[in-house]
Amino acid sequence: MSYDPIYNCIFTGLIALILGSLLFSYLHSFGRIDLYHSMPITVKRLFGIRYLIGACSFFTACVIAVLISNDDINKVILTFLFFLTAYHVTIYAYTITGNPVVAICVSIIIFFYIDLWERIYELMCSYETVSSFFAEPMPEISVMDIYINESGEPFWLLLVKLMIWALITFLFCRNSYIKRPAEACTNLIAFYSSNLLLKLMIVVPVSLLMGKSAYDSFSGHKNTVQMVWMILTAIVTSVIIETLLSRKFKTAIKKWGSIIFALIIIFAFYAGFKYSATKYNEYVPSADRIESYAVYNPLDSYYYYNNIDFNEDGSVNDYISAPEYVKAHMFLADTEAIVKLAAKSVKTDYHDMASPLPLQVYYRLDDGRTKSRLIWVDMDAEQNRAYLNRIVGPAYYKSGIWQAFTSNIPKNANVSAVRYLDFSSDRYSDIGSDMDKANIIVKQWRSAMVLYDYDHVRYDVAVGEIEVVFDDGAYRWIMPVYDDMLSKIKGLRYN
Amino acid sequence: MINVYNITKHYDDICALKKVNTSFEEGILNVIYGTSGSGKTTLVRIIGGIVRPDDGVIIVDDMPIYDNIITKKNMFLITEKTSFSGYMSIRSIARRMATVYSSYDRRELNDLCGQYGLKTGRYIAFLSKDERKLVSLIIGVAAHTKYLVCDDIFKDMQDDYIKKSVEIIEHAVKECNITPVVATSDRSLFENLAGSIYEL
Repeated sequence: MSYDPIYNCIFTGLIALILGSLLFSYLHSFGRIDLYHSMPITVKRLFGIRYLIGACSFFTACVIAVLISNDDINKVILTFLFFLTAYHVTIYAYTITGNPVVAICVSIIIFFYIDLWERIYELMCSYETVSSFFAEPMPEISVMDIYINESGEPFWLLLVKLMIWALITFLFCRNSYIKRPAEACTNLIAFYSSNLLLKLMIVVPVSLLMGKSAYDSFSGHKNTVQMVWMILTAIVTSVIIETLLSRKFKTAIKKWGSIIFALIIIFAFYAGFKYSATKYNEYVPSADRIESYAVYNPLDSYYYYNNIDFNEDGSVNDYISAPEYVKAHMFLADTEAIVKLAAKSVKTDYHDMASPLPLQVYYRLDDGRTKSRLIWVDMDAEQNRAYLNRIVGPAYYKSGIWQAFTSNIPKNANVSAVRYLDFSSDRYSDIGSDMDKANIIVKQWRSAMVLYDYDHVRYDVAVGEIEVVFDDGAYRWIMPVYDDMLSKIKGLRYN
Repeated sequence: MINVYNITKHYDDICALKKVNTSFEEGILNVIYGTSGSGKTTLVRIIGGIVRPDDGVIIVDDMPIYDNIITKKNMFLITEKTSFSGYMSIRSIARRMATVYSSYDRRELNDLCGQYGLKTGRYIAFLSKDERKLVSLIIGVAAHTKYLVCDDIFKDMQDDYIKKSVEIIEHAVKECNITPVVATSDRSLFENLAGSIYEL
């Protein structure tokens, strides 16, 4: 069992579906139910026997994988738990339905249902102030996301989450099996209460999604349009589903109580999402709660990606990602300035700003928590530019994003070249190839850069770049050079 | 003794059974007579402890039947739709039944199969519809349970198989000390044998 998460996901899910179908499809056959349920075996025992046949079959495969193929036991455990969850969902689908085709469809829908709600959450909670640079990974909730584990959560957390899912789905499937009426073979859905649950499971997300779609499509009275669309969708979808389940249109019309109940749930979710989004977007920490903060400006983007993570002995480990670099090196302390800018940002829609500039902010609070937000700064307002200079002016270079360049190159780093690229001629000129030469250049560059304020650096175009090359070209420091700095850095050859 | 108290069962808006009260005595052939759609199958399945009634209770030897292993050990149920796996032989089904019913008599099975020309090694898939029903009855009798509850398996059966089935039921009553409760829509079927008839 080689461990490719997505491949394993599909394969394990299919096995679970097949085993669950083979062992519990008898619930859809009158003859088989009559045979098995008339025998002197309790329903619980009957469930237990069939359940264990499926579970033990896959467990045996897992044991073989560990013993013979030497697969990583952690991954096999997670695969087994994933199998159990999918297996339970399949059994549950067979117990709540009376038709194998419907059961397979229902099991697939139930399995991916959480993913659907994750998507609804993303769409409904339009967090306009989400910072894409300092984005915190969302905790994985759905079974597939937990198993695939793209966010790299630790094993123990994945284990706990999958065990919880396996336990919840087990309780559902066992409970519904025990309560399942034998005569349910003739029905598409075995329990009437499942009718209502199934209806809500479809009507609520469909209405929320249609409402959101209407919100995005209309330019005016967006909230009103959204609510109207949600109501209409709920009514139409409820009627369609009830007609399909009961096969009578009149019955669908009569059951207006369930439509009202669905509307209550829809609006409860709607209100919850709106509240959550509003609270998120309006968040501004108080100045005395901020221990320090970091900022990222998209104009700096090119240079951030050359941040090198040096080991203690001076050797280069790798490039460190820009967000991680900023978080590790930037500890800005002028809290008044950032809080003023953030407070102004939440009051004004950036569409109404004359000259909006996005600024991604990472707050470190005094209680150890961190929060990130995107704020918009109207550069047309003079006071805003003054605040911005306090944040990303000269101090920014000393203690912020350029901090790696404000300290000397580590002693044992393997500097292979120092050179200058003149943009006008598009040519490199060598400055030197040793540590000392590199440190002289960096020091001079640092002195020249500290004079630049925010406006000057960001709106001027660099005329060239100094490159310090490490490990024979594998890694580079790149430092922009502006017109005014040319005379202050010795050794640069330019046209 | 099987006592049926106030059994009521609805399927959606249809009332299948309404306040059915009767009892089935031991040692005689009990017949439930009713036309098609009168609720025979529903009553048989309720007596067999498969279906839970909306109201009322079935008491078998002073114990309720539903999900009760003790009472079910004394009862073998055959419905119209009872189906054994096609890939199993008569012999292997009997072996499986023997693990569930402690009173199972394999010799009885062999004798009855031999008597009616059925080889115990034959797979169910290769039997005709009537032969399968006959096999169900033989397996039920061989279980030697106190009660044999049988739905209207005689419907659409060929005359010679009906005759064989009646002989087997007669044998069950007289030789095996089994109390059959048989549902049928043909009043004449057990005319001379029935100890009691309950009409739905």
